[in-house]
Amino acid sequence: MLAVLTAQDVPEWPDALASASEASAVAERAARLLLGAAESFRARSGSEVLLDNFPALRERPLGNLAARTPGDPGNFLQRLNLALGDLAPPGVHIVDSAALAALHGATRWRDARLWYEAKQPIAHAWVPEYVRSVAAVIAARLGGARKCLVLDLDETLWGGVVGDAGVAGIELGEGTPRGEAFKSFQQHVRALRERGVLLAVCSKNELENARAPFERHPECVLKLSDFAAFRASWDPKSDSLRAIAEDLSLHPSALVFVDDNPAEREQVRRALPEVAVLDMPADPADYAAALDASRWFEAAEVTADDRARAGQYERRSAARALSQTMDLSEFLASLEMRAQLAPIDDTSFARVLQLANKTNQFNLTTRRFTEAELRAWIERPEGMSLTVRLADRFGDHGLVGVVTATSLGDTLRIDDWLMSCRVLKRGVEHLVVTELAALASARGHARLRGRFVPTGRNELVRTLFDDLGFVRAAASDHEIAYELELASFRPPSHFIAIDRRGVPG
Amino acid sequence: MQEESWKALQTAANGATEATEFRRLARQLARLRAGGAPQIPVQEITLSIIGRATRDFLAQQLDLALIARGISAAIELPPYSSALQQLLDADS
Repeated sequence: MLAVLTAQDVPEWPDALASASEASAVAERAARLLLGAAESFRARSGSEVLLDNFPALRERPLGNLAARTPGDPGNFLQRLNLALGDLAPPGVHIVDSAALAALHGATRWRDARLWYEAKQPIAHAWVPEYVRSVAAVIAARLGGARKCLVLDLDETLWGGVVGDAGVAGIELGEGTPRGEAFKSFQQHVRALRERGVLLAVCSKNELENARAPFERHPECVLKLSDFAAFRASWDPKSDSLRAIAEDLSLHPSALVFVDDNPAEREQVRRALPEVAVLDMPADPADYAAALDASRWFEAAEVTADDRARAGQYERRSAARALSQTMDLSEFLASLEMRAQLAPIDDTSFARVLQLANKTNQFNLTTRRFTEAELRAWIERPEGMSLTVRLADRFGDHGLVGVVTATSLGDTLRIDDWLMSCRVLKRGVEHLVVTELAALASARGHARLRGRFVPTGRNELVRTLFDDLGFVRAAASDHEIAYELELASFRPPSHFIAIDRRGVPG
Repeated sequence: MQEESWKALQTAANGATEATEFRRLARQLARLRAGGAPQIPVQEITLSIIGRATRDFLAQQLDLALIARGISAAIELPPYSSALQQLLDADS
């Protein structure tokens, strides 16, 4: 449900002479009324609600005095928008029309004549901006946000060609307009990293030249440690992007590619159409705005795990380096992995919801949930759930796995099984199936049942149940059903110490 | 052929920045939809747009913006009414 709101939908306005506290109280009441209605609809229908906030008004009868007059309608709408954002419950999402209108100009955002003649609240020119904003909110909820920003270097993160000009000769930092613009773009990129977007480099350069500015340029905001993957070679960029996706265990459709060179962009578009390729403006001063306007990294929320993600990939890279010096068993044992197992609870719920709605590769059934649907699902008396947090000697990877299941007579049916790609090939799936078998036995079940539902993006787990010893019970174009008789189950080995929190058995 | 048209439209929708071009692509999408379901991988949703503003002009372009993101929406436009009233209406 998308509620397209206009100032005519504001349920209460303050008195023109209201004090700041009076105007804030009215704003909170009005916000609670709108959000309460949205929440009521959400609870009734199970559908999520997108609610517009309120762009600034074109009319400013008080002029500059409005800024210090809390009862002024324009002043009040700012309070109301803040209250809407602060008080919005889960499942009610704010479409920040106010920010879009501010960005493009309130007098242009709304065409007064169009409103009076056709009750159209947004001028024709800005409808694409608005619908893209709405689509980005919906895509974020459905797991469509991209995960990794892949950056070219020369003329993208700094001006000039580092291989020719050397570190001292590139344009970066204070002193020239272009240098300042590139530094500002780096700051913007770093802010994306801090909210959980992975960064990677894809450059046609000698490796040593490509690394040098990050190591030695005093005004380089980004550091080598900010990048989860770093590819500098003379290979076609589409090949490097494929390698980056593989390095990070991501599907190419999780990548956004930024390069100043239109020829490189076109090569990637043709060879790897799943990668989102940004058309960069000619002037680096406009790079950050272009990246923002694409909305590829719009998130439904930012969790603590998101903030920690980049560091987790660094630790993963360190572990990969270690793996190249020993065989797999030695490597896995050397990681000193520790898993914490627990049912889904209030502390893990937001992360579970996020994982369920964005995990594509290691996801056996790829069911998506609204917050209400997931809560109802895990509260079923016949249901059970399991979450896995993993840590190793390089650090904490956070919550990386989720299973939900249903008791059905002598069978425990696995409904959802999804895991973060950060911990692939660590034996976590062996741990999980062993745990599920133990839980099923403890509940008196004789077998586990599971299914693989192909989506085109979860080929990674097509044979997971086969590999774990399940037997195919039925197959169609839409799914493959599996069973595992617990009497004949032989737990696969793993190298993970277990800490159970509230999980029986 | 249909599949190529859908893919091309999706790519063009992601690149279009100008309003007139975006509207043209939205009309093209409407014509493709008349020929059958999307021939590209999509997640399907139902989306109602409520409010007292005119919403028809939004629906076609929102459809395009969602297709660009791999989402196919069955868009519903309930009768014109205040959003607050529709959210609270037990029959909506």
